[in-house]
Amino acid sequence: MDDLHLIERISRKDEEAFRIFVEKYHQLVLNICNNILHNHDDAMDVSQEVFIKIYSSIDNFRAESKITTWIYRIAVNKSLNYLRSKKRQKWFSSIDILFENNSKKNEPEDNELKPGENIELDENKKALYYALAKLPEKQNIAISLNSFEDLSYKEISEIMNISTSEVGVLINRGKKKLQQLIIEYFKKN
Amino acid sequence: MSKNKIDIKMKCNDFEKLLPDYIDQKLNPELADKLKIHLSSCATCEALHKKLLSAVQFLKPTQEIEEQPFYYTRLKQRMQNESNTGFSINLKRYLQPLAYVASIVIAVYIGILIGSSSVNQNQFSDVAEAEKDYLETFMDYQYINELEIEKIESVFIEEPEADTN
Repeated sequence: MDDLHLIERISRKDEEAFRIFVEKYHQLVLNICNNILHNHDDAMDVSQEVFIKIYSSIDNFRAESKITTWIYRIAVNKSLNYLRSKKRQKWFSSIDILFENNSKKNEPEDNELKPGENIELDENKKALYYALAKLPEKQNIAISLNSFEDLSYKEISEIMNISTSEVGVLINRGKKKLQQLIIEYFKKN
Repeated sequence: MSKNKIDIKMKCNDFEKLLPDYIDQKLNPELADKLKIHLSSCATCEALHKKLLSAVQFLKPTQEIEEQPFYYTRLKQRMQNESNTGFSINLKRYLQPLAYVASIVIAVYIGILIGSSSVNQNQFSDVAEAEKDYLETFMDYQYINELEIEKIESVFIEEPEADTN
């Protein structure tokens, strides 16, 4: 069954078609989210949100672009939203800590090891993820899609809705900044 | 001695700044040679160079996450849960900012009320009626007194002028 036929059936709220669609694309979505969030549990959570969004807005899909481009776009947006909300939570929790300076102070920071999570990460990977998180969003996404997802500049430009030359600028500037941030990380730790 | 220390530190700082371009081979040959020399003579910078290279090496296509056996079942479960609680979540999403705004407005209103009640118009007018005469006399006295002070001051001020003339 081809994608267009599947989408047509999903728009008629065909559960079986949606199941086939999810089985077909859940690995792709999970990988996109994981390559932006660098955390399996968060990626699982956000990938489900991606499919819920796809299911609810399937009528918005125009066959002008590839289905994978559309999926990428939603997955990137949902992952970015998640990162933003995490940053907001961090900001609010830092205010909480200011007022309740006892119990929460001992909680680990984001780049510290948490039980059952990221233990296998070596220092170099941690440095890279720290630097990626510190990059401007667009540079982070362009580099992640290019390096981890192995997408071409053209594919990235379609996903991000920008020109290929802009993608090139984002990646070049981003990589230089990334290296500076990695140096900063190693000097701090 | 201290100057040498500063020189070495400066060189390390310069090295750190130029390191990304050195790795990307964007430096001119002369500058690249200078960095090479520094790299061979400074153990700290050599270690930093190695660490950076190994961190950047992770910028490559990642291993695919394995297929998740019960992914669809879990997704359907979540969709069902959200459709059951969706209304309350949406309500909370819209009501929360409204509640914040309302509490700020109420706080400002209470503040204004407290501010205006401290100058109670009726009480003030009672006091004014009762002590109006006293206040007027006091103000007149003060005015006269100030005139007297002014007079004395002006005498002192005028004196030196008289001398100069």
